[in-house]
Amino acid sequence: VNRFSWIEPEDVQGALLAGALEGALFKAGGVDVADRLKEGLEAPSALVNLRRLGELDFLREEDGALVIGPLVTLHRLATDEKVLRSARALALAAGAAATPQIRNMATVGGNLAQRPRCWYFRNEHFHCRKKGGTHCFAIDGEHEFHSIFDNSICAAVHPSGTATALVALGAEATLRSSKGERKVPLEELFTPAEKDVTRENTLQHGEIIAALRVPRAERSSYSKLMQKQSFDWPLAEAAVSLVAQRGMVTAARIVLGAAAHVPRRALAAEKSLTGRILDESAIADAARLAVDGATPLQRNGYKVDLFKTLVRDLLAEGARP
Amino acid sequence: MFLDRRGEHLAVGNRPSTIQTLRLGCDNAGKLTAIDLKAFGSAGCAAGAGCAGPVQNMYSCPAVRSEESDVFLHSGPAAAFRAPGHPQGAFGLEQAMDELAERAGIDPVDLRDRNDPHDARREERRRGRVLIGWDERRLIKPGASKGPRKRGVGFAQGNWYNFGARTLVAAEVLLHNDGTVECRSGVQDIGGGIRTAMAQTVAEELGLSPAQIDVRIGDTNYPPGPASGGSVTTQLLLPAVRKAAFEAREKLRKEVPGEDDVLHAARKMSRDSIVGHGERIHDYEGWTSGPQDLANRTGGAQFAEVEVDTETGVVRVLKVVAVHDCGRAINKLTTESQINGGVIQGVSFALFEDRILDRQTGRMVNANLEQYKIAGAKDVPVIQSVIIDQIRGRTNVDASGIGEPATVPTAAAIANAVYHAIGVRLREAPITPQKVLAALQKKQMSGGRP
Repeated sequence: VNRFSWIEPEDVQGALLAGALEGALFKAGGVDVADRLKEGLEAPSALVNLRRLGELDFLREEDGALVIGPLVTLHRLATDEKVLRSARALALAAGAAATPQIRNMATVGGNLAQRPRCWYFRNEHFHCRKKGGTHCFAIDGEHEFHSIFDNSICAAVHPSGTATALVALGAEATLRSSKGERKVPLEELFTPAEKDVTRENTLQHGEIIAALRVPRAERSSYSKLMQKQSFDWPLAEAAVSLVAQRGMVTAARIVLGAAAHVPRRALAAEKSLTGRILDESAIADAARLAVDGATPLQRNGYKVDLFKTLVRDLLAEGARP
Repeated sequence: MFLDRRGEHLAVGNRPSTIQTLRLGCDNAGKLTAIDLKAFGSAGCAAGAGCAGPVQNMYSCPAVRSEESDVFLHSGPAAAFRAPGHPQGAFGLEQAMDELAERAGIDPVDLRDRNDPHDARREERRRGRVLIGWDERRLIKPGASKGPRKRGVGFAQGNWYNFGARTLVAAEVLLHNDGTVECRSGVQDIGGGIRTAMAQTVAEELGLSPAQIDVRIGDTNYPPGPASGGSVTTQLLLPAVRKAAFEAREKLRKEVPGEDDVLHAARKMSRDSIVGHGERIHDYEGWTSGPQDLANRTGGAQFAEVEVDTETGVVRVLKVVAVHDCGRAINKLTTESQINGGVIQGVSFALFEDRILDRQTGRMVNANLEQYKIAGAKDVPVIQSVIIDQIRGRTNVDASGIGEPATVPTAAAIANAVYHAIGVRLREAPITPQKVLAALQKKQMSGGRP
């Protein structure tokens, strides 16, 4: 780990000014930042500590939506009554992450902005595309946990389970820097590899996720498949959000996590459900279409079946009264 | 010097892997006629990758052949890893024994009864069989349980050596005239709780309680203790400890005659301290580290219950019944703790642990504890441990080792349980969701034949 200065800002404005300095890096819970420093992936000149800024730690209901501050911990998301009531997929995703100790420290802002866990990206000995190299070592290497969609440039998967849930819930992010504020649908914050393989989102230098707005969901759920039952990254994860009238689906969002470079909307599956009664055949069609267009690598084809099973089970859960 | 986790993975050594080809034969009565093992193994360089221990020593068989080759690679050093060679060897042999039992139409546990002359092992199988509900559970044919999540039970056993002392092993007991008692040895505690066993032994010899004994270890100023390896610490050190306590007490009797209470007597001494010294000698009747027959071995029988999700390939170990012997268990709590640890490490070997080397460069890609997987809290099964005391009158404490034998059979028992659950045999560890799904798919394509 390199030498760096530690900046403890007084308020958000101070944090944004400090974060705009060259070489500065924001730190919230510090979970992923500490890993990246130790793995030699980053050598910031300064760490700007956001963690003590109470202004960024809020969770309230506003006009039928949840408004969530970036410093809200995964533990709080997993256990808060308001989240469980109106954004169940998010509570489940936050509760399935890592360990109780990490969930107490990790923040939702940091969880969304963390870098991928691809073992080539994380290893300083592999100068992969994400680090400006010319080769993805996973594609012709060890890739049993890697992506099955859009994986011709880079096979890393997006690591954030809360991102999977929040995209399914149609969340909107407020981004703020010293220059001002902008709002984007969270889905658009994430960057496909073909656009810029060296990053996973369009956050600019000095910009933070200042708030998340999550519309109240009628029915949402999330599920994560792991090899281990404690402290494991997903083999596959998915989130769904459904709106139904008299048993007929009027709107559906289905998102696959640990599947692609970004949280992946299963658009064909969503479309197939709209206007249909959520019966066994509709569920089977959607589960099949959820993996439409998958391009598994040589040794991760098994993940395709895992996603089908996950989507089927989540929709079957959603069909129950 | 402290290495970080990656340094530990890369430079300190790893358990060697093996590729084993096994052939077993038995007659109509289920008596083994031949065992033939051909094995290749490697962890990189240095240390042997042999895995033939179980093949050579578990069962009585007239014809046993093992041919083993170490393969040298540029992938770091090998290291002795809890019962070197045995968990791997048992993973092969005990699965092959199950296959043989199925082909011969004999219950797998019965097959062991017919080929293992060890009386302790027989009793362990008998007890475990009842505790897991074996006879009832095995009425369900392999793969025949209903629904996508299938349960199964499996059995495996292991054994371990009684190594003698190869170097001087000694301890001393000091009685001080302020009424305190010290026991010293250069032994180290790598987690087995040797301090507690030392305090118990001295306390028993002196008529005190363990809390009254001040145990000091891990210092080269003290008499040399045994090295930690081969599950020898307790069985080698405690006879010396007891002898030292005995000698100290005898000296005290001469110094302060007519006072039976050790602490009272010590306070009446004119000098500051009395020192008793003890060394480990050969076992009574000449047992040493020489040639080892089957009867001289400790070991255990384990029964595992698993649940396999046939849609996701995820395997969960629900329960392990572990019945073990280790001579006289000096402290039941620390002995059970060793069994718990052995089983948990066995679960990790069966389902998770995998040193993944990049096929292009040979570099380890998962040299950290998030991607090198070991069992976490929710992965730990219910562990029911049973300790059978084997009182044989071999030393003044009669202890044997438990640290290594506790982990030998676990992975094999889990693999056999997976077979019972889904009717497909997974011959490669770790048994990952990917491998389970591939095996099930292969079975489906071949029309249901495993």
